[in-house]
Amino acid sequence: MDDAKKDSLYRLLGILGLVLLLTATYLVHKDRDIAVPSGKHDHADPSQHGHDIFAKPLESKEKELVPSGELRGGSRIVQYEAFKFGFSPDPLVVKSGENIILKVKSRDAAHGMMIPEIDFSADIPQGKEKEVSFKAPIKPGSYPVFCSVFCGSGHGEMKGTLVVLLAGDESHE
Amino acid sequence: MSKTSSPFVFLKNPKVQVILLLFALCLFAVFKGNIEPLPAVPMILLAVLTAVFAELAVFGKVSASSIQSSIISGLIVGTLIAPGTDMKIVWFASVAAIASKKLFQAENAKHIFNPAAFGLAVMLPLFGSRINWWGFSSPYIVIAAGGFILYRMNRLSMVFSYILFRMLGAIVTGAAGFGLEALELPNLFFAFIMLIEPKTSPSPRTHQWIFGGLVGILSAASAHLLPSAEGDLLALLAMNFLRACRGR
Repeated sequence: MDDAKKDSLYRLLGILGLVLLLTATYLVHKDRDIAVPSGKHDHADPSQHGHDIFAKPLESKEKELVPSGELRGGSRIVQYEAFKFGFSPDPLVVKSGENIILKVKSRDAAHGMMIPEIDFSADIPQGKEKEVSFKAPIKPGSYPVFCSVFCGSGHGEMKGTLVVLLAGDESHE
Repeated sequence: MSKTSSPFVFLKNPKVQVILLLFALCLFAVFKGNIEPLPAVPMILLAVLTAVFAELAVFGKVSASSIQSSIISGLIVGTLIAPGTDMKIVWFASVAAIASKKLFQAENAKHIFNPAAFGLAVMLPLFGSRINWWGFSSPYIVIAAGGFILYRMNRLSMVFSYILFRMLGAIVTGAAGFGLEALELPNLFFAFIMLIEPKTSPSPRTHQWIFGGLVGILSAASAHLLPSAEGDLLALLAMNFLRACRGR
């Protein structure tokens, strides 16, 4: 086989591999749309993605947690702080499907919060409060929260948890 | 008398050493308990496989060395994106990283931009995502293994220059910590693994000092002016571009 044919075969193999990987990715994350910050697509609202969400099942003591913040006008409003190297409150406890409004601020440096599973990401600037919102996943469980802005030596370990309780279970309120 | 080569001779290849270093960091992150293996391991695998297939799709029949480069790019992409991020973003970032090697070439046919930095810096903002540097799990592994590799490649000057000027830049811009943030893990990883990519950075020692120093200054300026931007990556891409414009 001459070099030109070999070259074409390798290219074909590469293209087939890429198509297969993208297809597999699509099937695993079926219905999960890519978040394009165009304004038409609410990046913070997973209900607009309608994708399967992976959550760690709640442990029994997590099920007893009281939701953070307060309910006002149909939304749960929570003061949420980032600091080196953690979040407060941690865990952030909400109920499934709730509209969440976080009043975020940083105690020390620029941070970010990212909940990859629901495609939520927001910067948390230093020194001023900022309001961000998202819709809590329908699926109860615990979701990891990461810092998304490099903030110092402990950045890699700056993690928090979003605990989503089953809505309708009024024993928490 | 014929000389028999050691079966471990491939370990002397710097690219293989970098692959092993990245692999060790991933393992360390998972076993140390920082990271859940379930989203992280498939993500790394996807990033690496995508980079390898993209290399074949874009360049056809390539050398083993090119495949090793694409594995490194895939590993870097996989260890910078936060576990749990939409896998399609990982796929696109890996493809963009490798495609940039074909799309942006200097006159000598070498690629202009550090592939992993390009893929991440372009694709993540496009998809509204961020990098997380989760794979940078141990400064000791980075410094010991990375230092050894770079010593053999004669590229330590660039790392020293970057760290020195990153620190000076942080001090000048009044960052907290007297510039010691330059010694923090993501910066170390960036310096030891990404900054020194041979095809997109200079080899002569003086040029290494200039290149590393300018990346450090730009990075410190970016950290001051745009703290939420990925300053290191943008600084590296800017210097890659300037270097290509100067034809070096």
